[in-house]
Amino acid sequence: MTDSRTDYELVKDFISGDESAFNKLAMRYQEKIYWHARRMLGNHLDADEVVQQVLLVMYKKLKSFKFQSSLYTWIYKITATRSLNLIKKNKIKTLLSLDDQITDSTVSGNDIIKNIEEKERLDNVNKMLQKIPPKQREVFILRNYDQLSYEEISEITGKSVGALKANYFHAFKKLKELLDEKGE
Amino acid sequence: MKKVNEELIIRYLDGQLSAEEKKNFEKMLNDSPSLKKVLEKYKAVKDDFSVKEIESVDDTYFNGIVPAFRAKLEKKKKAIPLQRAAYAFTVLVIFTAAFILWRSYTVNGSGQDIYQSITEYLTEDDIDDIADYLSESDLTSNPEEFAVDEIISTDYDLEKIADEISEEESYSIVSGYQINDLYSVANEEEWMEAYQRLINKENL
Repeated sequence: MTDSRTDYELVKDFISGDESAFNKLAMRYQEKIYWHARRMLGNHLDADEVVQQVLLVMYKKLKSFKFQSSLYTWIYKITATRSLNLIKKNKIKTLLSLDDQITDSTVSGNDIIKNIEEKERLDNVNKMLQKIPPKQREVFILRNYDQLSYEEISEITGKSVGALKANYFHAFKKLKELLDEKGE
Repeated sequence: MKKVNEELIIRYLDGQLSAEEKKNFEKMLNDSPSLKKVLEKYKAVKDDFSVKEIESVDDTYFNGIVPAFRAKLEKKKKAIPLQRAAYAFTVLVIFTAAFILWRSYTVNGSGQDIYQSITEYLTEDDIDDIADYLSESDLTSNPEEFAVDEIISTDYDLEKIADEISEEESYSIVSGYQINDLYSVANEEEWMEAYQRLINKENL
């Protein structure tokens, strides 16, 4: 059942001690968090880890949230940071394990997509996304999938609009090249 | 010329052209079949990488996110954070000492062996702890203010910190006998700087 309370009201209620208000907020944003993380990281298990981390940060920090920015921008900021962090963590883990094998990050036996064709399509798209640098990928995902304005992305990433447009251009160009290569 | 067109195409598809630019671009499109062809290719990319409803998602996953979070929260409340942090820090100290030895022996060509023999002693959990600590130490206090760029661009002086620890001391630390001595050489902040520098190094 959808809750008619605004984000502001839910946050206020949560701060006043209504734990169920947090659950409502989490349910409102969980899919956006999941899909952003999944596109950034390329697989379900890592995306799930990010979702849980983001909820934990929200739970701990909501009490000090001042509504100086919109709640969804704040949540995206945490999601984007956590996703980049997990990319870094995975890199460190690979190094410490001295694992020379390149693991396919899109391979996962545990997934939430039931239709095989749809899963294959998503895996192909994710594989290509993983080939562009994380910062460019982040901008491309926020712009193309999450459909945020450059001003909102700037608030999330802390980068200038000009730099974001340049990132988007390079990401777009690289993806086209990858698709061209695939088509050859 | 081609580069300019590509930029125009992307800005056009991204809705970033002014009314005047858009008008001129559409006129160019009408006059140039090759430009139109390139535009179609870019449009296909945009369509492939844009919002698409995933129809066959297993709803039980999304329905289970909040209960899973609540269960983790309960578990976390029962854990002893200080003990865990102390353990993670100790493992990190050992790892840093290992790095110093590795750096030292790289000059003689046997660094990889030393590094490998040390990391063999680390369990999967140790590695997970180190990676967690390295990647998140700056986030725990104030995650919304965390900026990856800041860490990457900051020039931490790992070499300077490493220079203050002799090779002999590093051996002792890696052997696990004199960890306390290491604390006296550098403070926690300096070690955190060292770890950040470690992960920023190209070979890491």
